[in-house]
Amino acid sequence: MKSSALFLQGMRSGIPVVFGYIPVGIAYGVSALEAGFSPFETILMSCMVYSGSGQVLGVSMTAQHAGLTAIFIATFLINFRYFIMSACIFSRLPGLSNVGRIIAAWFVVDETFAIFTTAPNRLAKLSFLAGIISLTYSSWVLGAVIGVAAHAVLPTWISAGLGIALYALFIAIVIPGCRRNGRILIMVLCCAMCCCGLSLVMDGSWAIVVSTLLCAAVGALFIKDGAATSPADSSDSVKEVQ
Amino acid sequence: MEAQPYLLIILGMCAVSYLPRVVPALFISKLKLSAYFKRFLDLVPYTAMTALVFPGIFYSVPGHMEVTYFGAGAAVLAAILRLPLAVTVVIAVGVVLGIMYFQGG
Repeated sequence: MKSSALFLQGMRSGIPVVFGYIPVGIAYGVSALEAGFSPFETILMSCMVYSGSGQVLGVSMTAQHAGLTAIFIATFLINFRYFIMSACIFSRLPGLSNVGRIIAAWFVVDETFAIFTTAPNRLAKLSFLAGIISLTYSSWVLGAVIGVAAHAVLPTWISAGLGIALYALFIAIVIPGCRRNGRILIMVLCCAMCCCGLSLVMDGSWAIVVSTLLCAAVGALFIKDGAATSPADSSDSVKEVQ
Repeated sequence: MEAQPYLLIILGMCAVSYLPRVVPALFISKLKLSAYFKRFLDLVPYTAMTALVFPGIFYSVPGHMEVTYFGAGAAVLAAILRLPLAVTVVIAVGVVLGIMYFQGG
């Protein structure tokens, strides 16, 4: 496949993410302005941090006048999952140069990871990744811009209701795998219960890290064909997009 | 409200978000991965996204936990019915905003 075709295919795979990003970007933009960030700073944070949950967390802590150290530690913890996601993404790109890695690493987020790591091998190239990134990153920044513009006119209950959008996207990405493989379904149900339970006794971002690692580590003992089933995932979603 | 060092907050958050992204990007190719670890990496997408959703989704609409049950239910149902990803997202947002509208905003 030519790299321009791969790039377009990547952009196409990123379209559903736009529908999740724009509403959440708007909700973020509105809450950042409420927390005292200027319109410029609000948009700058979306460009530089590029992490939905990290930004929402940082903004709400800023609004509560948390100290800098606490904000940075919490952001690091909630974003530590990128360590694993980045490892998964770049293990599929063995030939990539260090400069390419340094640039592409900037754009590692849940959605890039979800699309890229579940894509079939023939698509798992740098051009495909660049296509995903260019569409999703710009829509995330655009969401913040719209949020800043809409802040004056949007009723607060609407900006609050938009918060569910990204979660619905994650549900839609996980369920096809569960339909296909009963063991994945069992692992996912255990993981949901595990994270809900752990978040009662520890900080929410630690609960996410621990249950992600624990459930995948146990799941890998019982699910031998996780890799074989993954590509079908993405061809499902690619089909759906088209 | 006392002014916060907003630019410093953004720079610090940028650094702590970029660090966990770039370290494995630079060093993963130097590691030999076992078959078990590869299977583990294949399953992490499912567990990471599930852990992000539950229980986070129930707090995604501040002050309105009850509407998130319906939003989550609608998203699960739409995904089981194999509706496209974007449609699933729109349905979940629509259900949440619809209920909040009839509650009087």
